[in-house]
Amino acid sequence: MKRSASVLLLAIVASLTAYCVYYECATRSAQAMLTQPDGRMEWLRREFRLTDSQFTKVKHLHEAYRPGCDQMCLRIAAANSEADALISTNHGVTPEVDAALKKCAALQNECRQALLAHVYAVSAAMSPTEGQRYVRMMTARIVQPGLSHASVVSQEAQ
Amino acid sequence: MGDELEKQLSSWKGDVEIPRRFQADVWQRIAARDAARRTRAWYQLREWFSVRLAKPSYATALVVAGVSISLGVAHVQAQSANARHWRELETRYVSSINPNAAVSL
Repeated sequence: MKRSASVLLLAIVASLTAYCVYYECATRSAQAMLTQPDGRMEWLRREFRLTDSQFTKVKHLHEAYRPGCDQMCLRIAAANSEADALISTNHGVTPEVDAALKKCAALQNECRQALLAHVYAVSAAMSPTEGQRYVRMMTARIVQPGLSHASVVSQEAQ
Repeated sequence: MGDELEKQLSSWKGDVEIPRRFQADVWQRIAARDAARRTRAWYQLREWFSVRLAKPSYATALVVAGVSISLGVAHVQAQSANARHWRELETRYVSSINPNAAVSL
C-alpha cells in the first residue's frame, strides 16, 4: 500500500512538473513580448516575417511617423473637447457647433490620410505578399472599419 | 453455583436436528458474499491500487499516462494563451499608429 501511494504521488508530481515546464516554455516568448516596451514592433516583425533589413526600414518609418501621430492625437483630442463643450452649451446646431464638427471631421480625414500613407509606406518595405496582407489587415482595422476583421485576422491568432 | 451450572449444561441435550448440508450451506453463503464484495468497484479499485500499482509495469504506465495527459492539456492551454497575447500585441501596434485609437483610449 505504501509503495502504491509513493507511485501515485510520483505520478502526480511528474504530471504537474511536466505541465508547468511545458506551459512556461511554450508561452515564454509571447509573454516576454507583452512585457517588452517594443513588443508591438516585435509582433510586426514576426507576424509579417520581416528580414533584418526590412525590419530596420519599418522601424525607421514607424519612428518618423510617431511624432506626427502624437501631434495629430493632441489636435483631435482638443477639437473633440471643443466640439463637446459647444454641443453641451448650445441648444441647436449653431454656426459655432457646425464649425467645430467640420473641424473634427477635417482632422479625422487628415488623420486617415496620414495613416493610410504610413500603411502604404510600411507595406512597401515588406515582401509583396506580406505587404498586401499588412495593408488588408491595417485598413480593415483602421481605415475601413466596415471590412470584416475576421477575413484578415493575424495568422498566429487563427 | 458454578458446579451446578456445569452439571446442568453437561446434562442438556438439544433436540434440534441440524440439516445434513448445514456446513456446506454456510460456506457457500460466505463464498457468495465474498464474490459479491470482490465485484464492487471500490473493492476492485483498492485491490488494483494496493496490489497492481506496486508493480513496476503498472507504475511506469501510470506515470507515462499522467505526464502525457498533462503535456496535452498544457499544449492546448499554451496555444490559447499565445493566441490571446498575439491579439493583444496586434491591438497595441494598431493603437500605436492610429491617433483615433489613442484619443479614445
